[in-house]
Amino acid sequence: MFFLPAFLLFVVFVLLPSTQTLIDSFYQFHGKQRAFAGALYYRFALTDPKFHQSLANNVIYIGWTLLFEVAVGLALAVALEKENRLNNFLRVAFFSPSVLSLVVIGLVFGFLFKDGVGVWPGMLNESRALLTISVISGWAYCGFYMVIFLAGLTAIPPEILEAARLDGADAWETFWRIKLPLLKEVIYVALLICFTGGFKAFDLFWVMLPNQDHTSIVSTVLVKEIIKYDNKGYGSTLAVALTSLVLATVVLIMWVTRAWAGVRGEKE
Amino acid sequence: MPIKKVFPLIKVLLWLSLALVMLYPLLWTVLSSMKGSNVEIFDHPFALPKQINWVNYQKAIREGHMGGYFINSLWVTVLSAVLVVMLGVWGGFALSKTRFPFQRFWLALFFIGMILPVQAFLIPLIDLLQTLGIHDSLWALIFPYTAQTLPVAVLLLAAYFRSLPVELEEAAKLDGVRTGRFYFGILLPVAKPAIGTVVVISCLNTWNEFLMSLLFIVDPRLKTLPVGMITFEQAHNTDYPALLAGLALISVPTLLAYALFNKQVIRGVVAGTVK
Repeated sequence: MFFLPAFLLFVVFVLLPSTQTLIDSFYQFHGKQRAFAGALYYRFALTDPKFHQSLANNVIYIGWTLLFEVAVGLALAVALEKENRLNNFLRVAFFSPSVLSLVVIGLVFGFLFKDGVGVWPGMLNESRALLTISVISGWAYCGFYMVIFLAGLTAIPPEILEAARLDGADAWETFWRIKLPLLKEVIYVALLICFTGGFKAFDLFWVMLPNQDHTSIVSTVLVKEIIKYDNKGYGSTLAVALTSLVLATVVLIMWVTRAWAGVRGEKE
Repeated sequence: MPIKKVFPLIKVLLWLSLALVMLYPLLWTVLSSMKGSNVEIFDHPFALPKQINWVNYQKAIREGHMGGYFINSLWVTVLSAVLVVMLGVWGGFALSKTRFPFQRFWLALFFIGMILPVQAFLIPLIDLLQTLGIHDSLWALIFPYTAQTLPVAVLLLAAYFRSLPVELEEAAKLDGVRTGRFYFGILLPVAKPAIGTVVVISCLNTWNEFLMSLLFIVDPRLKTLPVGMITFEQAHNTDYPALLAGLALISVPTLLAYALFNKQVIRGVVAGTVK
């Protein structure tokens, strides 16, 4: 009985609409009317260059953010691991952009990089926009990953590090041989967030690249299908594709985690 | 100076300059928002303002309707957080009991809910909100935001209640406490540490949310800050100091909250990801 209100809200506003999206993706809409369309939109998606381009952009963006967000975040965490005044200040400084609204970030950088009037124009050209946005994402979220990795690092028992030190391991060896393997779980979580976040991304692209087709990602194409072309059927199909990608990534990463843990478990 | 002392000093300076690079976009926004005109921004983009002009902030608040957007965002964030906590504590407590039927199934369901992207349920929500008669109202955001944050809240709270040493309900029954008093008098106070984390997660999720707010709110008076900023930008994209003043202004609450509740925010961020 206690459970009911939370469950009901979740069902009405998340679960049922998600199912509805799946159903709608098989229909064609004309205003209020709808007609069964079978796999029409799925076949269309397979040959739609706009969808392919946007999906490729999602993947490229994920690749860059793995570097600018996750790898940089890990490096920062290891570098600022020791608790002292300077490091505490630096942690706050690096984390603070991640509490900002992406819309604000997008507008400020969009203004700086605007062609014609911007202080530093040309950064949002078709050829560079993806890299620019990835760097901005890195600026915004490397501190977020730093915080997750710091939590993982503090969970490492100090005796292990002490033993490594006594064995004469230097900082580099300690990182690769001891810290990184012990951070395994946190790294999986970070990869999970980075991959799913990369597919879900919307705000920065919408705000900074409003009129570019070549640099769109799946979710901006999806929203345009809805508010610009009023094409609910194809929009739903894209939503299903995006959701499937997110779920598939989660399953894949969890499966790899388990497989790896299993192999190691047998060895030990 | 001996090398041994110079090297750490250089390291410190390098780190501080890196921190400056990180904070510079914020600093630049604030400094430019005080400049007198577009000309001053473009001619000397990296110079200090010749004279501090608070006028831009007045303009942003008055002409940009920042006050209205701010109150909308505040309502949505606060009410979502309250609902998430109230319902999450109930749900989490119920799920934490070992004899809850199909426990694993519900946990799995909420886990899926946690990883579902907004895009999965975005489009049908537009029609659903209309059917429910709450479209184009703040409830059109509060309910979806609450529903979206509930899975992680329920899972966190269930894990927290399970970690408690005593069977709360048994103890309450022996004392003859009634449901209402049990909830407000025992459950909520006991869950306080976990509730703090849940509140942080909920507020971070909702205050800056953009996509749903963009699609579900049409009435300009009901817009939240992120969407309001876009409207403001489109209307004032020739008055850059005022635009930057608006952007600086809406960043203050989150930065301030982070400064005040640093530890809780960090704990919330970590808990929200690791679970």
